[in-house]
Amino acid sequence: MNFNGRFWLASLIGSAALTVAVVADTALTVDPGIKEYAKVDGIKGNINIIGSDSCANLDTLWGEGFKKVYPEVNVTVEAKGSATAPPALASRTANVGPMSRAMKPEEMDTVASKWGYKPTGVNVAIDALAVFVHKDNPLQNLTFELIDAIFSKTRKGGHHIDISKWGDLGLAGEWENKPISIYGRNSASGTYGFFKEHALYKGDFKNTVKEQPGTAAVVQGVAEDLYGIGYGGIGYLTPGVRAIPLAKTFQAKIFKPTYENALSGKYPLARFLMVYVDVASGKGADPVVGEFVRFLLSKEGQEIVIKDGYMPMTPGMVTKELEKLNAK
Amino acid sequence: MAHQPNLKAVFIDRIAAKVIPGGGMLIVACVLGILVFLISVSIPLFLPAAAKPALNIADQGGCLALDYIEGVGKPWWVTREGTWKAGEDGRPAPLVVPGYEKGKPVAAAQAGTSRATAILYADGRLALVRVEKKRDGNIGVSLLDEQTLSAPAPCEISATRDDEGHARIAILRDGGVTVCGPAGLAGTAETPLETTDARAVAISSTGKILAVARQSGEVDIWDVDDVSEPRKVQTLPAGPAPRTVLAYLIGDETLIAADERGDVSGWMRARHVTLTNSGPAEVVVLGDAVPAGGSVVVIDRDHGKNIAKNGAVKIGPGGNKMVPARTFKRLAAAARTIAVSSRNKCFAIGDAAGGIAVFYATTEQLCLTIPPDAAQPVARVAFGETGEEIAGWTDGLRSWVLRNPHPDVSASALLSPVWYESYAGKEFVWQSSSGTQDSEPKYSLWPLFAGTLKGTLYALIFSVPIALAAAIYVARFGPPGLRAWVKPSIELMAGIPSVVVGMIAALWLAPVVERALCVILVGGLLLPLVFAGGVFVTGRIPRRPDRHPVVGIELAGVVAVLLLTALLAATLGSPVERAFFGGDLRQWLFDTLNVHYDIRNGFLVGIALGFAVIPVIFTIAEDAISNVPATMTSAALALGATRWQTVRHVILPAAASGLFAAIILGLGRAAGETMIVVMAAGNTPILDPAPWNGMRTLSAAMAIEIPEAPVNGSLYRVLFLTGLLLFAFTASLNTVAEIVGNRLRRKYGRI
Repeated sequence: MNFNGRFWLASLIGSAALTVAVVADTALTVDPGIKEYAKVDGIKGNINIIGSDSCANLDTLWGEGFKKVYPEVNVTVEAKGSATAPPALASRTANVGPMSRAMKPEEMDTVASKWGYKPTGVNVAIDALAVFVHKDNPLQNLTFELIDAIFSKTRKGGHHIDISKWGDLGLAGEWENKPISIYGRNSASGTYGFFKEHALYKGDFKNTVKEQPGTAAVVQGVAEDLYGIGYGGIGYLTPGVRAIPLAKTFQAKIFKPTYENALSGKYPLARFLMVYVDVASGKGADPVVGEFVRFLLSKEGQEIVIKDGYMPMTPGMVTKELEKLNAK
Repeated sequence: MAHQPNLKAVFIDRIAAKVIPGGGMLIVACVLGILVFLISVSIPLFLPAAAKPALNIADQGGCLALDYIEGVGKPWWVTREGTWKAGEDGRPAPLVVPGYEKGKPVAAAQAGTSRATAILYADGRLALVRVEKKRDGNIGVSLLDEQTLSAPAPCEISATRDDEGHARIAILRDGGVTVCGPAGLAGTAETPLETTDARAVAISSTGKILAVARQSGEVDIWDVDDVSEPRKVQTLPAGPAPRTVLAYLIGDETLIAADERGDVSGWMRARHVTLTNSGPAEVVVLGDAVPAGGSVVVIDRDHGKNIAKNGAVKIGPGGNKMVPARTFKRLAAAARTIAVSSRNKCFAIGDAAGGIAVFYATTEQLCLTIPPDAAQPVARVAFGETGEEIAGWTDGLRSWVLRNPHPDVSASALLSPVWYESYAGKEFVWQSSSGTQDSEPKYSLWPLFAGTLKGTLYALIFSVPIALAAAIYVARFGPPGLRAWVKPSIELMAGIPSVVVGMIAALWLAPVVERALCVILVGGLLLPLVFAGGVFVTGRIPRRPDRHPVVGIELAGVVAVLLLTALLAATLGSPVERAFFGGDLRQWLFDTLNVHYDIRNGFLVGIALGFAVIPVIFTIAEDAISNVPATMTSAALALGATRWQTVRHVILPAAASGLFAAIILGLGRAAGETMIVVMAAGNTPILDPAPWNGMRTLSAAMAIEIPEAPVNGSLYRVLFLTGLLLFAFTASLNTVAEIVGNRLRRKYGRI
């Protein structure tokens, strides 16, 4: 048996290192059209963030950045998945609910039944949801129909056979008969929901998807499993895995998960990361929350987005999102 | 000196006499409290739905359009003469719609599940509107889309709002059907279908599919994605009576059809495959017969997996077809009108006798019926935005507040197989949430039961032999000094947090086991052989009667045997793998047995969970064995019994109750253990007892899913129900342990 203490130590260090995300696209910069954050007087209180795991590192970095501006503000972060945001907002356990998918109408109802009105979703960053394989995997690209046949048991994409070996995807040689080992997120995750809605055509995941509590664990699973495949936010890309270029259909062109392709909508799994907050003026609203969201949409906030491996908003988007804060 | 009563001691004694029983009662009360709480949270899942009357407004003007005001929970309607009214506070309030104050409407319909209503006017204007509470707090009408059609005669319509926000409608007039919708730069296209005997129409939410019920009872499915070129794709067979009501449920996967006799059925889209047989004989694949030289189109039930390599049968795409999947309780009279919920798979049908029935499609249950108040047919029904209100129109408006919070859960949904949308047949599935509103939550408890039993079973297989053998050895065979340090160190194992055990199992052990799979297999086979060999060899060594055997020598022997086995297995592992399994055992399993070895699996959980259970079983078992009176063992030994005979026939029977209790408590610990399975079991909710794949246990499902479950929602209550079941399971295990333990104690207590 070829194991030793060093290996054990290495995997511990490895898992720790994963929490430090690798910058996906070093060339990204924040558009100069996005203004620097302007400090406002008299801001204090608590920012309690509960929600998306995709935003876990982002939330922490944002929190640190915000605390630098307002040292007397307390920031707490709990990132167990987007679906944890609506219950936390409803009970006012959290006042900022980051989500990596849009809130479902039913979840809106949950919050509205406690607040008396619906929460406001503000887009704060761009993510290209990536399909990861091991770095030594020769697979070139995938279409939604094939992704659906790999991950889903309902195969609503219409592929007529289940894909369970790499040979089914056209890989030859030693890969031909190797079973595909599937990693995914748990159902609380917005990434899970987004992937299910788009890549699985709203179908159901196979029971054999190994559900991991965080995207870091998905990426680590794939990095250690030569025959693994998984999905997650591009911010979690590490040298051990490769993000596969995707096309929506067999006829469509194939695009890499880059900033340009995400902005233009050519990469088919681009999405917004959002925060849900209470912006209703007067009742319940907290100026510190509004300032926090303004900070996220500032130059500093967007630089943090890039630092964490996600993609920044454009000035046009920022203007549109800031308007939501001023609405009654 | 006279004896003085120690007042302080008496006082403390009195306090203690009160506090100690009080503490005990408090614990009993706490346990009962937990039980009551679990029951009280789970019970509402099974309470029947109810409807509380809200509004009752007589209006002679009739009703063309009926829907709810967004964000208010009150209905609005348009009379046959075109007057708009909002049902506020028991009396109709007029609504002002700029541009639509005048003009006579001819037909209207709710636009699928998009929370909008389409109204067709006599002059050909088609308005898609939503009545909602505006930001300023007033109620107003938003015009979402407007098109102009050729002026229509009296007709019925089915409408939807497509992804681009445009209205798409199907017009039913004198048995003919015209489909209308945006068609590129030309504006609105109106294309008549080749149908002359239509009774009812329903357009899907996306506007891409149109169902047309005909007088013959058949239902035609049309692809109307391109409005100017509709294509008939399927004809559903006729039922016993002509269908009078059709509707697509949210998600467009299920088509509900109800007929003249009141029969209600559900048709679901299912993916099909084409099986083509090029061979000379009929072949049966998964029960589907494929004739020689022919082909069949069947529901895709993973036939691909069951077709032999290089066989005569080839598999190809077979498209999506509607199949009859659901039947519902019959209505009291002919179906007249239908409304679908925009939150879940609920739908309500109004019948010719004035009654309204609310169904939930997934569980096929009739949630509730609202009896008629007048013997007139229901003209319109509508659900509120959140599905918690319902309104019906007979000769006036009646509305109700629904209390139907858990239509998706019933005893049969939890325990029986269910045919879910886009599945190939009935299955036990746990997939409780999704990111979209239109998917069905799937709450079958069997995968979780199976996962709990599987994890527990493998843990006991691993831990019971080790823990019991260790207990017997330490208590009866080992050198006296051994117990002094073995027992505390095993008990120290219990102090290791289970999350640490889980992490070690998931991150370190899992890849090690995966790489060394063949070594472990060989080791498992070799161990009995090496042991037998060791016993044989030691038996041959002549015993010198003049010398006592060194105490603890057998321990050294066992360690030597284990080391030898490990060494042999490590050296033999790779050659065996090369010789028998083509160099890769995992691959061989997959190729020959179609077994997919998962890195997070039952074997791994057995080891990790077993590790956590060993201290529990060991401690109690060791105590039980040590407590067997020395007089009994001395007597046995004095009578000439060997040490093993003494253990086998005296100690084990006497300690049986304790050993049984040890195993049962270990079982309870394994069943309730959470962190280890969360981390090492892969959390796959499958129904498969095999050791090479994972599981999701009741406790893991609770730990993973409770943060995402909205308080008092269905998932929340189902998770509490699983908690109640787990509680009941461990409580009954402990009770059984207690009862059997008592019985055995009585039996052997007399010795």
